[in-house]
Amino acid sequence: MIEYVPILVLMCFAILIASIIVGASYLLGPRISNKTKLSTYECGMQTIGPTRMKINIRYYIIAMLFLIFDIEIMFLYPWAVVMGGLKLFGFVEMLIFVIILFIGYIYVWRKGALEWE
Amino acid sequence: MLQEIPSGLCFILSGILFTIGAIGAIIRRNVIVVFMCIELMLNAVNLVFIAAANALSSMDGSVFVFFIMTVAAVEAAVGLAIFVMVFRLQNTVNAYEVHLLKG
Amino acid sequence: MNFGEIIFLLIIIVTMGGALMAILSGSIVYALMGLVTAMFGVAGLYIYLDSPFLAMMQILIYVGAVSVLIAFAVMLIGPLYRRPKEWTTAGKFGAALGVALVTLFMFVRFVTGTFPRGGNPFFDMTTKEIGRLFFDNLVLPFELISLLIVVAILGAIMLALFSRGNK
Repeated sequence: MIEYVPILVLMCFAILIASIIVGASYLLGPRISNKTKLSTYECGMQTIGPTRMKINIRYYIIAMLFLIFDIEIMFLYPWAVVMGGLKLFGFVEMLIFVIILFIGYIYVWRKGALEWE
Repeated sequence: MLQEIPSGLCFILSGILFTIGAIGAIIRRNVIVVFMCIELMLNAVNLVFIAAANALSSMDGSVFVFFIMTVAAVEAAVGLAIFVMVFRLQNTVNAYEVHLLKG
Repeated sequence: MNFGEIIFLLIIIVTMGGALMAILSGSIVYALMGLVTAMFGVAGLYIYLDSPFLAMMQILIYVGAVSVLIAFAVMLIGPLYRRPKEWTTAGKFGAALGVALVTLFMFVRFVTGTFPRGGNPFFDMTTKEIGRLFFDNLVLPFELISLLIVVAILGAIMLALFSRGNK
């Protein structure tokens, strides 16, 4: 387990620094509030109409494509580790995998899901 | 004792996680929260696979987890797309109000 | 009880706390945060169970991607709808209680029983082992996964673009 100690130290430092920053600004900063300060901020103006608008579904499509190709990267990792001992067979295997995914990518592209008009 | 054989405790923990997920899927109504509970249950199953693989010194468990994770991620992509579409069409994600398929 | 065990127990507590937060929190964003915490804790447990590659996979896929996807879905759905009345009827409460009791019963059976242990104790699920297994024995399932992913892409894109074509 000793090789994971740096990760633990990193996490401790991350938590420590984040709590120091937030806690210091909470403790040291003056809190004088008036009505203008507490109002909802939007470019310094009062908001007009409902602020909860409908969000474009393209954000979701981008996130979904990120997830899908994230999985593909996960499968590339072990392949890259054992690549040396696999000769041509492993390469062809991975090539088929990537080509099938590439067909999906081409489909998404041609369908216009990546365009942000 | 814990560090030599952590799998025994991990079995119990995964059982608890699965129970928490199942109870959440029963008592919540928001579809997204139900979906999150299902993800929690899948995580519990993954944990028990890994713990069993560790206890039995076998590779099969990690292969199962590999496939389960992939299928779960793909299911998340499609399932959430369905929820978004249901919301656009019916303006609700309450699990009780979405009953178009109910005869 | 040494240092590693304390960390192990801490991870277990964090995982269970995150899971409880995920199902009990009224706000959907806090529930998502609890889910992320629970998944992070499960990744830590994978490291204790000698499979660091799966821990990395858990962090990359669940903590990194699936939670972001859920957050985007919350962004598209969450704030708009009227919040449904949570904390439902006595019947569902009874069902939840039933699930808990059945699990408790099975726990008692499990704890009193024993799990068989075998194989060599010096066993490590390294990335290399997983790669060997995949590219030597499991060639067909590996290729089928790519097909599954492509089908998922098609389905999700069709669903997501459906509203635009419909209007």
